[in-house]
Amino acid sequence: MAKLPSSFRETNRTSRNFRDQYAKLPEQVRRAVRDSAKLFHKNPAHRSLRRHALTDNKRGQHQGGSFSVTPTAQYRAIYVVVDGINVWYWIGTHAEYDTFTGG
Amino acid sequence: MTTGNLAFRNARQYMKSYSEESDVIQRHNEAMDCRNWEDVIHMAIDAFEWTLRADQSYRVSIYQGEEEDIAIEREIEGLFYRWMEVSARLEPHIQRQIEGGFKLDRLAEYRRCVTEIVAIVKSLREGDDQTLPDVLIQYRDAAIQEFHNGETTEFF
Repeated sequence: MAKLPSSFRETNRTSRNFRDQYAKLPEQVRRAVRDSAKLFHKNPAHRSLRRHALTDNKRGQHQGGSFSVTPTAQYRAIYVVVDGINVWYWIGTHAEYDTFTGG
Repeated sequence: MTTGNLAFRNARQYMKSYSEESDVIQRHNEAMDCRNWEDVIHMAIDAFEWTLRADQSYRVSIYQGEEEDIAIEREIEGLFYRWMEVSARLEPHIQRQIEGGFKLDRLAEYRRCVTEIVAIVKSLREGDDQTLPDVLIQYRDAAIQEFHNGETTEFF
């Protein structure tokens, strides 16, 4: 499988948790995630990716920097921006995400 | 990308069958064999799978550089909403079958589809300003630590 562009790889890293979750995804979903990464690289705000901020406002802090992106209707991937680098740390279905929110 | 491709045709067709057959089976509730309910459940699962495929097929075309098509996006969303509506109407009848002691084949799989669709539809309505759940704060903090320790790796 062809690698993503070097300029993308330089600015996007993955955590251990993300890699573990990604490895368990069905092949067609992994392919869609990789394809969506190319579009994300060109235009992170592209409407199809439905990117939006996730704010940590617990403990009286307002810590921004996390974003949710939707590579397929069923899945979302989440990253945090650290020193200008996107660190991807979670990927799963919306249903799995809802178990965290009590939804 | 057009709505005439295989995934779209199948998504539409399976959704139509699921919707129509569930109406018939509800009208003839008492006379129906539990195997008919199983067939409807199988149709629901097929309709769900094909709608996901239609979505993926559309997205791949966008990711490969094609223009977005609002009509296609609305149709996909419409299929998700329709599936949820039909399943909500069906639920009391399925419940009655279970209470009557019938074991419905692939019921657990169907239930997973319901959970997934509800979450998908909820995500479609999601606004911009969301709060990061506590569990994910832990994953985020661990990821930041890994980054500073030089333990993150390239995206695949």
